[in-house]
Amino acid sequence: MNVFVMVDMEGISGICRRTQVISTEPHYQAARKLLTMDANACVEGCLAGGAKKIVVRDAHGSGFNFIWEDLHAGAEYIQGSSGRERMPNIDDFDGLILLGYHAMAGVPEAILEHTMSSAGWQNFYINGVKSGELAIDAGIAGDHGVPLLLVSGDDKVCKEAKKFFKDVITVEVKKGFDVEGGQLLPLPVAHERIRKGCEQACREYKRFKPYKIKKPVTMRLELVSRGRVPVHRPEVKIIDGRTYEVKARSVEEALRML
Amino acid sequence: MNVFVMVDMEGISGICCTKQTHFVEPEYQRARQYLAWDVNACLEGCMAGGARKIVVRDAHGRGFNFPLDMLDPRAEYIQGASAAGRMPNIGAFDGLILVGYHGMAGTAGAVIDHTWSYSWQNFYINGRKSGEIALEAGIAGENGVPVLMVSGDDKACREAKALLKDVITVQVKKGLDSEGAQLLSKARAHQLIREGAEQACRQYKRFKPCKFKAPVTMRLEMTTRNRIPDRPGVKVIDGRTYEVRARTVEQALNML
Repeated sequence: MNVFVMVDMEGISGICRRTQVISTEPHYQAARKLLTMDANACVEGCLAGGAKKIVVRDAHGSGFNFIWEDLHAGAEYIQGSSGRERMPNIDDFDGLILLGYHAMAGVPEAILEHTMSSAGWQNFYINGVKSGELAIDAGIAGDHGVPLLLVSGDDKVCKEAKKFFKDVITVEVKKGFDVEGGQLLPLPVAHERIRKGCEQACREYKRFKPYKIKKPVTMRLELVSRGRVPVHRPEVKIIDGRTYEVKARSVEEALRML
Repeated sequence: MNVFVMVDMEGISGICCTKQTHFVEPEYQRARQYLAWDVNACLEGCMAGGARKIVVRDAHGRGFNFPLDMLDPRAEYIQGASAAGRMPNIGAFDGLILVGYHGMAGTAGAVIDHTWSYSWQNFYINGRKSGEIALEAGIAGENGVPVLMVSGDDKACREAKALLKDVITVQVKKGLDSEGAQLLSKARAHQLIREGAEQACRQYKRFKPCKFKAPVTMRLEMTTRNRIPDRPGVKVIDGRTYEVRARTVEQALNML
């Protein structure tokens, strides 16, 4: 089976502070190593679970966070911009893994909670359901018939995953106590959990169902500040001074319109 | 056999963003190691394929990117400028290898696509839209030396195949954007470079030099206005475009 892995940074084992996930901050370089270790644990697990082709996308910020030379030799890695598609050639894959993800904006005691942009996005809804990045990425893959197999991150993102996708495997590598604080598993334990979870996910991939969002897809975005609603674009429906809606035939298309 | 290796940076394994190729950026220092690893992988392959003398030119930017202490001691290295020609003494070599090359300016989905300088928009040799692969192949070719191998992303490989039918291409990444790629792992990329270079040197006799018909006409369209050189021999086409003509590719290039 083939598996596509999206890797964010806020839910990575050992990460609990903002200064670890911003490239210009002092703790970032050490956190890149943590990121690379989680990705490697995931690849090891996928290979053990029978995955043949593994593509891992560096999906945090501008997509330039992995330490390339330290990555596991058993996969290929997308870094930087992926062009038009958020998950290039996703049709070729049997499952999606979301590694190092985080809870949607506004979740109490969730480590580095946000949705897409912590500075820009306040509340976000897909077809009226308040959603975060889990739903966006599972929805994009789901539009291509690819199911979400596993989510890793803190306890809050695991809870969010279970609520949206009944059958998904969740790997909790830390407990959130605050936006910038949590109780962390020791790294070897966290990596072992990721390895085990990914192995199981790939072994059992046939039992998962793609997450299907009803069409047309309506996305409503409430921004954190005024003066940012794209008032000049005719395809955008203005709700109020900080909120607008778009409608499209697919999740990815709607996302592009925001 | 003797082989000359030109090394650019944008097509090196592990490189996917401009900031890795620019020496003022923090990520550049790490990327210099990537450059050295690709060079070493290439040299190992060349030696295994029977190469005796290997000269490697650091051809990115000002040519001062190699960390010399990391490089294989069995070759010699050209760094910095060269008034002795783009590939000094190239006539004494049996083949040219281009490591870490990239698609020409304007190629869709090519990692850091450009031709020579970011101020070049479109560039033609004898009416054919060309990039750096054609320039290097042409300079070596007019000295009777064929290109054996090109490494880089899928777009550089495609461009090499279109111009040099028989060339060996080593694809170490797939371009998804000018600032993004699907990268092979380090071990896999280096293995492919090693294998390609070994095959290239072993089979060097089967390759044909790339010949451009003389006189060579180069047409350059710049990205901005007011840059047309005011020199004899320059034919002004429009406010951003000019042409030069010379007996060889290298001479024409020097006139731009």
